[in-house]
Amino acid sequence: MEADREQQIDELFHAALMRVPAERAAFLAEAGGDDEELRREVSSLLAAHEGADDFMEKPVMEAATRLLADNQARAIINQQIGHYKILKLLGAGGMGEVYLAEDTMLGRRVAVKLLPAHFTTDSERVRRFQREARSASALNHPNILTIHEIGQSDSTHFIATEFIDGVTLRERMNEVRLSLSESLDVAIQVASALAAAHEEGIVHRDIKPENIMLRRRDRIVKVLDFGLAKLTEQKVLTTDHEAATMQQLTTHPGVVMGTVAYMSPEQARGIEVDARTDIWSLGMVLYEMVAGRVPFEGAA
Amino acid sequence: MPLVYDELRRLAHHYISRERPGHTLQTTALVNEAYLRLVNQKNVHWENRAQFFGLAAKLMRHILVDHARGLAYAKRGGGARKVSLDEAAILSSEQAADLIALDDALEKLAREFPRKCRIVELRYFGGMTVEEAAEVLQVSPVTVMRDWNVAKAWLHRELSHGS
Repeated sequence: MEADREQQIDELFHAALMRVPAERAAFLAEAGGDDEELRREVSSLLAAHEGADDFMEKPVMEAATRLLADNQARAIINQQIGHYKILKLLGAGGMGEVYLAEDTMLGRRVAVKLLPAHFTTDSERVRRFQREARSASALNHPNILTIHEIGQSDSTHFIATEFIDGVTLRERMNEVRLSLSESLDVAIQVASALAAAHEEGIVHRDIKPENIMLRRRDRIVKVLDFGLAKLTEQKVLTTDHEAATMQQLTTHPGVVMGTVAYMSPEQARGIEVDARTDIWSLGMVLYEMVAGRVPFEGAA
Repeated sequence: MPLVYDELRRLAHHYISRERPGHTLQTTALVNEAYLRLVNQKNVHWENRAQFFGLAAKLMRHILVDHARGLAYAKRGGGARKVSLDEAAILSSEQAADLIALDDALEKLAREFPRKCRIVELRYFGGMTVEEAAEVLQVSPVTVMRDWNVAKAWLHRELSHGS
């Protein structure tokens, strides 16, 4: 569009804006002269302006910054976090990325999970998480992943655990159809881990194939991330369970949320859960190992 | 471009990790800092600060819209790409859809009123004030304000028609 046309529009638009809304039409009719097209354009822009409310009021730069920071997180290889040297990315999930690292003091390999920054900016949430992780770290059971350290380096919160050379149950199921005896073997070991945790009053809250590791060497099962699920839970301040469910399930629409299929009904409704929720989830996992699919598919 | 991108990325990570609850991110300060760091390097010839800010705002737009399109693609079930929770927490799918529509509308705006499009980039994607945008574009703050008002109305009209 020609520059003077643009200027005409700008000027008439702003001159009209100076008038109270009721007088604008009359003003345009007069000031727009016989340029019907100009008058129509400005009048339509004014209407859009009135309906715009807070449209584009808040810059989106903050979101862009977060995305940039996320990309940066991928450039962490070979960095030192505490006394751990990050070697390679093992996997990433909702609760952060897990890296293979070297414990430079003890010279052994460990897994280091870095918590996403936006999970740890809420200090209350961090405290709650630390409390959970502390109690989980007290669990001493062959089927529970051992936590070495919960720490903070600069403002990066991390958890160092034993490193398991193996695959997750999800990966295993993708490779082969599990035999009944292997399925039962896995289920029994997970049940044993859960029994030990429940005895200590710790609920896992997120039992699913992605959180169950099978060690390559001896097929020992290790349950990961005890109590960590608490970190991602939204605090739902409502007694309306339907609404709470919707909130939990639609907080991140479009996201592949594997967990929903394993959630107990009470968990999906967003109400208090106890040990029984883990047992439900284990049931779902066992079903999937045997049947090759979860019992309840589709929309929750 | 890669150098600018790397520097912004590094600083963004730093800013986010320093973030404390209740504090809004001072992200325009981030662009300032990135600029200062880059101009001190001998091999970078930025003609001026304005050019850099314009570039940073374009980059921010690009990053966000790319991400939004990726989310929309994942939502339609495209590919096997999983979106991690922390990625999704940055933009809801509704925000992503809004951004994509806005980006398309901006392309149209740029064809008719290129300066207005740049002002939207600087203000909305670059987080700049009217005065800062005026400095970048070498126009008066009044012009920026007027362009901004008309551009907002124009875009809002365009987006309402689309829905």
